[in-house]
Amino acid sequence: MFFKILKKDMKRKKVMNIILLLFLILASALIGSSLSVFYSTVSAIDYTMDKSNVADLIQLNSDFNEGEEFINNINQLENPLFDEVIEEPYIVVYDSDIITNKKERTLDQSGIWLSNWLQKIPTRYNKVFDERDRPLVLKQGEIAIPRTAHDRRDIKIGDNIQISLNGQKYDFVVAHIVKDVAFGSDMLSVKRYFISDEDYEGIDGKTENANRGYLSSLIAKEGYSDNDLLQQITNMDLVATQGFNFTKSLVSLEYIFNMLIAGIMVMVSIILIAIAFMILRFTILFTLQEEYKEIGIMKAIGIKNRAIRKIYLVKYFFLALLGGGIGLVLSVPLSSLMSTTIEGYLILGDGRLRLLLSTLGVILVIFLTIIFCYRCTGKIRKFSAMDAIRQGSTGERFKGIKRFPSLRKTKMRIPIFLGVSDIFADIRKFLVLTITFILGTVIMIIPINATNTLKSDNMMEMLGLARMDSCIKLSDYDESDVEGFIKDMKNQINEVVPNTDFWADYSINVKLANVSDTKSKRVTGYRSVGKKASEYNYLEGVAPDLENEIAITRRLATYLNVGIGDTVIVSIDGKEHEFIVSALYQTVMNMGDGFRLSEKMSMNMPISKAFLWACKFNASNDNISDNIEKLKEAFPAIEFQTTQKFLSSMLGSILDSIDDMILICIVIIGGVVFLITCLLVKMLLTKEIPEVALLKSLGFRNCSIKTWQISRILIVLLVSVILGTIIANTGGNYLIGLVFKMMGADKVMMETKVLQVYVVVPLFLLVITTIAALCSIGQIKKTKIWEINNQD
Amino acid sequence: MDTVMKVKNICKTYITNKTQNNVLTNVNFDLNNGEFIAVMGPSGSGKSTLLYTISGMDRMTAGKVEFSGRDVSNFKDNELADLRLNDMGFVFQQMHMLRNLSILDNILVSAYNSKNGRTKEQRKKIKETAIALMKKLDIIDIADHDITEVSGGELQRACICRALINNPKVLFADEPTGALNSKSAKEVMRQFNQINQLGTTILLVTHDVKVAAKTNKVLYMEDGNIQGEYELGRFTDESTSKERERMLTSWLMDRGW
Repeated sequence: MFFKILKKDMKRKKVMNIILLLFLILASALIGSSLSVFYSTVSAIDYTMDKSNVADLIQLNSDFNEGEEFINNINQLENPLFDEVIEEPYIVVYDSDIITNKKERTLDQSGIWLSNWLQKIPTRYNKVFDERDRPLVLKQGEIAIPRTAHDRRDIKIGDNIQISLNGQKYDFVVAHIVKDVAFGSDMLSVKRYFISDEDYEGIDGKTENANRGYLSSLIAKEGYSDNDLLQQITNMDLVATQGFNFTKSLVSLEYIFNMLIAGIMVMVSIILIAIAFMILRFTILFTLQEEYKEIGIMKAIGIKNRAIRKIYLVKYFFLALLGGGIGLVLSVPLSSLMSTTIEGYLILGDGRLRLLLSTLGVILVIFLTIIFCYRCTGKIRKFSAMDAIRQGSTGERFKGIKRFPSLRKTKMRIPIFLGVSDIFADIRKFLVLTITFILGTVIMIIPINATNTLKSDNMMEMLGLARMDSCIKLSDYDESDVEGFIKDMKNQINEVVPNTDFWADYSINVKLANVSDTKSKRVTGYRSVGKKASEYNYLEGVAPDLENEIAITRRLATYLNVGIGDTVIVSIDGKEHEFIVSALYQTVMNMGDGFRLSEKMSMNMPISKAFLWACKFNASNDNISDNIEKLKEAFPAIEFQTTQKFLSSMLGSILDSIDDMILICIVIIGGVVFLITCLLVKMLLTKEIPEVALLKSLGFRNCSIKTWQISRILIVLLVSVILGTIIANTGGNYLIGLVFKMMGADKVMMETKVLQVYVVVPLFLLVITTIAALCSIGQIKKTKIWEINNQD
Repeated sequence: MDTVMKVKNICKTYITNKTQNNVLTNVNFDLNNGEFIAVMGPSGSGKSTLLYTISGMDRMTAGKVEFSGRDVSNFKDNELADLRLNDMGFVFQQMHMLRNLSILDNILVSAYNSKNGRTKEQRKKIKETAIALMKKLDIIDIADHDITEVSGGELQRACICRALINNPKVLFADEPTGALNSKSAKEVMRQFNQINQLGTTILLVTHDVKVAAKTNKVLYMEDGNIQGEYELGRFTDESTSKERERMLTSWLMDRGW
């Protein structure tokens, strides 16, 4: 008998059961895949770092002699905190000197100076692997390229590339796309290309020292951390420490965004499960209310509560099992799809463990569904045989009805008034929909705000740079007279686009220490040419004006335990200088550490230290892209790029990952909103058939009745979108701010695009909801007035 | 007497489980202006189906219905909706009302939704009509009550007010006293007679001889067709009701009631 009842129920409530099943599938698939991806991401970082044997400290010296000096000096340390140091030479290659044999799709990385170098395959530390996770092996004439080159420049396995170096040209065939955990993250602008030992020796012999560098891998002594080692190296009062270094812990931190995105997907899945449970509860209660007669009759003929409950539980157990099963199967391809990005950079490790985790996640969903259903069916106890016999009325008076202000006082159209009054009378009926709409709005707006902020001009300030309109790529000018070159170039630019600022930011990697030398740190800072330090933004204090003034980030000030007015010691060009801290600012580069010198401070400015060339158009009548086009035409040898392109090159795959996440969120939310609206409208309509029939008997046209049904859903949507937008733009922005703060920002300047947040997102939800509602109200036309007697 | 409604050869067929069920077969009758007709017959004879079909609530399989000279049998959904709004009123056995509205708002809702209920002045007039109707049916005290706060009799009288709010040409009632106690039923019928005397044509379906005896004419239905009609004449005095019931019962018994 149970199965007969079950079969009948499945047939009768086909659409509802299908929607419920779809939700269980979606929730199971998402929890399965997101748990797997989260585990993969977190474990893959440690797993790959172990397998790669990443050194505790990696020191890079792009000057060959400087590198040799560094090795000599650290070997003279009295109590070195390292056990071993391995040196590997490399050959520096400019991005523009790596040419492929085909038309390139994108060149986003060329916005900044990317440090590429050629290296032999490492054998002990910072080892690398091929695309199939095998240790890298290369023959003569073959080259292994970093993932970035594959993604950004569309270089594939089998492509030919030509590298120009000191007037020589070297041809290679791309044999592998390398997984290089130490240098692979897009947060790091240093990328390694690998060639065979024979090829390397051949090129090395013909390469000038200016293009050769040293990579030193240091292993900390037992009992000392990589940061202890870093501090010892930083404290060395050596010119040779002018290179760039980073620790093993920083490598794992470079993948923080991948972890964050994986974490967000788990959160979205959990939210989806919560929504699925709300729908489940709503559906069960609705079904029970609808079937009180059957339940009452079953009780009248002596069937016990438990047995009646079993009928419903069997149905939901079956749905949960089917949904969970399909969801688990779907989670396998979904998790591979979601982990494509991370898989390109890291080794994912044991696949069986990931599958086990997905399975456990799905089993948990099924188990929770059944427990939840068991609790929800508890209401069966309350239905009595009397309910069935007396058509649901036991003779008791009903509770009072919450009424919207009288019809007589309204200026609204009657169908809309009826919609509003329905919401007022029983808001709980629309709770699931309200929560779904709010969550949908929030989940969409948060990543949209995040990505807009990352792409905005505000980001320039958060990077500690000045707002600009175009980033310029220059590779040939007189290094000895940079100031003169800038002046001349500015004049030439102003002839094409009048009233344009033109400047450069030179990077300096130096050791900063407080006066007592108790705390010191190697930090990258900037000195501008063609722009005054006072034209940059500061959190507090006054811009460095005099030669001995410096602005440092608040995070660095906290680390060095100094404030405005205090003195710091900085080693520049081999000499120690005393600087007075005149201002504090912020940057999200280099984990929040940085400084800015006055434009009056004299220092060497070689081409290789020019971090950024930029211009800003001050005439308001032209638009930026037109001006960039004019400049491109006037200076064909120079690359002029947009700020967005510069940011994209700075932030690399972070933007891509967020864009992918937005797309996934939009698809999931679109689907969820559509299904829930369909389900709710159908359920409400099924219950309201007598009301529909009554309105028809009173002469309401079908379109008026449809307006009544849709208007209340759209009112709920409107209120929810307003609430969701407020939550996303307050709480959501706070959460994004926390991530920026982790990266070093103190004052987060969110970019909210009014059109996207206040128009496109609500419009998207409006369109989906309206289509879903229209698809679900076909019953109105079919309803006959005699169905008025179905009212119980 | 003018004819409000002409019913010609109405047929209604349902197909359930591949079996054809002829609920109405060639039903013919005229409904004249000011008449108060009761349709009687055993369960399943097609009384309610006849009422729903001729009032445009349900589509007929064959036949023709003329309402005020217009053939309404092929009216589109919107035309039928307008017909129900402006020219017809309905009272059902169950006192169906919108739960979220007060009694008076329930009465006003259809009129406010019509083209003549949009402006402030129009709405004011409609409200005055509703209040006058409620006073006439003696339910003015419950105007602002919830529908759960009043008795069945009061609710049915409110349903009658709602049916009359647009001043319909014909009032259709399906077992209007079926869910009421005898006292309330008597009161509802008194109201129907009063309305009829003021000129509204009424077609009522009932099982109850006491109810039918208070109408002008009774149509007896069996097996989907009208088997006969009995002219009772206008009901004017409560003292004649017993005699009318006796005569009607006798006539019905002759037809196998």
